[in-house]
Amino acid sequence: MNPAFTLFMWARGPAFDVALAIFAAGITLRLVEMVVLGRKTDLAPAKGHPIRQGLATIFTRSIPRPGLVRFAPGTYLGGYVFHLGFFAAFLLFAPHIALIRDALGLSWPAANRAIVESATALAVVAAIILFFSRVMDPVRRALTGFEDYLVLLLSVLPLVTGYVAANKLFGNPEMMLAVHVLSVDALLIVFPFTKLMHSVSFVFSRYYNGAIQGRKGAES
Amino acid sequence: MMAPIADPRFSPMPAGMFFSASVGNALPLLHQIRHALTALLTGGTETIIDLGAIPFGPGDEAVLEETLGTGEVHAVLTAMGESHVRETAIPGVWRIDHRDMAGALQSRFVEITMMPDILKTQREDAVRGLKVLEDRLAALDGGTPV
Amino acid sequence: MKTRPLLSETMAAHGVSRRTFMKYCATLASVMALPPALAPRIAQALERARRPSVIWLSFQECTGCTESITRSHAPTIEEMIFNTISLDYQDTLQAAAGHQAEAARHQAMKENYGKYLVVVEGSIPVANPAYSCFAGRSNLDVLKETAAGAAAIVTVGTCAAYGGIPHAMPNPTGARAVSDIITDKPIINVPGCPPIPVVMTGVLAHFLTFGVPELDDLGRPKAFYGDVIHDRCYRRPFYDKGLFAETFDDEGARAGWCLYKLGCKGPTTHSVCATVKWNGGVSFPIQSGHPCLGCTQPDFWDGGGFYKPLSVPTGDYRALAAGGVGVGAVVGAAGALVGRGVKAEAARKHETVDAHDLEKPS
Repeated sequence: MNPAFTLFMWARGPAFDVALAIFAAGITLRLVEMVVLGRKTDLAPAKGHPIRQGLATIFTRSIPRPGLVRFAPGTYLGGYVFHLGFFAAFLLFAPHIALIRDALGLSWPAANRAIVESATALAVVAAIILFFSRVMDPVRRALTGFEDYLVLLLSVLPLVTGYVAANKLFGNPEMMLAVHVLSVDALLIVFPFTKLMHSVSFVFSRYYNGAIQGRKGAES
Repeated sequence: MMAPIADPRFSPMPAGMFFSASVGNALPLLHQIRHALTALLTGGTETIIDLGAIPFGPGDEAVLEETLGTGEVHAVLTAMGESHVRETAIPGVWRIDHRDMAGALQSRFVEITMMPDILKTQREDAVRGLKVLEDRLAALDGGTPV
Repeated sequence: MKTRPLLSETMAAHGVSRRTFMKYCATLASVMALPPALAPRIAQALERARRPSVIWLSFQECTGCTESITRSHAPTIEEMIFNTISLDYQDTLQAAAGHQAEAARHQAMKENYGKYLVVVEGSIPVANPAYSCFAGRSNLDVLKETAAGAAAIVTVGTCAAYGGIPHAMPNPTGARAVSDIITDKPIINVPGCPPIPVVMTGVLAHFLTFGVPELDDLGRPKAFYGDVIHDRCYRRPFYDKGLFAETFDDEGARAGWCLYKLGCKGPTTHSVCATVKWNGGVSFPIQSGHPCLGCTQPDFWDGGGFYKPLSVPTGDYRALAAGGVGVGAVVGAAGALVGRGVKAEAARKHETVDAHDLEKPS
């Protein structure tokens, strides 16, 4: 009867259920795989503190190396702004908090519209800068494959569609809401099987990197 | 101007539910009225605002009422129920409330004008009035003096 | 065919002054959600309007829409509208019953063929027409017969407009909307459960003065269903500030904050509830502290729950996600063990090579 609303109901009903199940199964699969596979025991005596350095590296890698910001400002600043903006828009917007409360029972105060919308806009601008930094630089362009472009597109779509739906910029607002939820469903489905997995696996990779260097007594 | 807003007497809601002017719709409406009054003075443009189309929250009406105040003119029409035409304390800004015969409110307007049209005699009524007067005069001329 | 009198003639006959008529038109402009400056245009149109014959059909419904329109806050408006139209058949209100009532309907149809207005309240059972009949005839039959000579159809209430509550899952009667059955007549949908009284009369007044109003994708007059409640809600500033009632009795609920998290459907519901309001402009559900149910929208009854926020998924997603975690753990562990097995096998098969081996002729 109302295609926009029907699509919206499908997107937040069966489509979300399936997407979330795939997301949960995929993330668990890859985490369990990582843990069970483990790493070969290093029999050499440690020269430093592998565990301590491994744990520390999980956090210290969030701070850029001196000089690198100047070397690739677009990548660094764009990366920061995109990640912070994405999570601010995701975690501070009331409808999203309502969803998390329903799912996990956790709740926190929402931010006002100006903050959420500025964060969204900044994240989108940052994503565009990141896209251009990939396309303009010949080395990065050569390293970028279809998956990278897909992942970039899928992480920006929820921001753009959400902004359009909330501000009724164009199109039928209900249809845009449906498209927004569908874009999130798509993001959830591809998440575990693409580089988006870094948002979980970074803990492991940073720990391993830190621990390997720590064992050698080197900086990480 | 802010003083009456904080006064819970003007709120139709209990004090706990009082709605502050900062989030209500009275303030934007008052600004619209200010622009309309400027337009009336500069270009003679009249404006009618339908209060039935404004999303008023509790307390908004009190803010409007208090800010506009009561002026010099208060006319009552008896036209299938009463209509109250009041000039506010801001000359040029009128409040018009139409009521039905049971006294229930039918529609409410703010008019920014030198003279609301509804107060003027309508041409059709004047034509009918002329005829009525002529008939009455004819009755006086032809009839027996009282 | 009788010539129906012009409205202006009817009014003049009742001694209604031009000023009174202008007052009425000003109110009508407000009721029709038109700019007040259009009142003179309404007056002109009304002067030329003839009383149309109206046939009101009641199908699968609760009569709440009739209750709503007859309990309107501005009785004289409705009186004038109903003086303006000729309500020739309305089985709840009319005195006639049985064969007399049906005869009245047939007579009105015959006398005004091609010109009368049909108002439909309620949905039409199609799967089993026996669920709703009158005078021994199915709703489907009566609708088709009556619609054939109609100038236009106004559906009053969500049931007639979109199937409404009878159409809710699992739709035992096979309920359908009028627009599912009649496709060759202009249909004006006036949904709501019930619709706001002045919206119903406003639509009738618009049909009378300017004909079929401009409609949206769902057949609703844009004047009344153009905006979503959320955009006209006086609590909207709280939404924008991130201030929400979390339960029905918390501080936020008492302070009148936004009801989104309590399941308010205002953001997807098109209606003038927030401006025209109910009970003579006294209040509307959100002002009374209850979230909007979305009753002017198709399938509002199956929208995932009245108290579930719009952003919350409607399915049993937690169980599915838990199942996903289980499946993922098993498959991941199995995959990793297979990988370890492959690695161990490779290590076992690995043959060490030394310099002497390399020296050997192959």
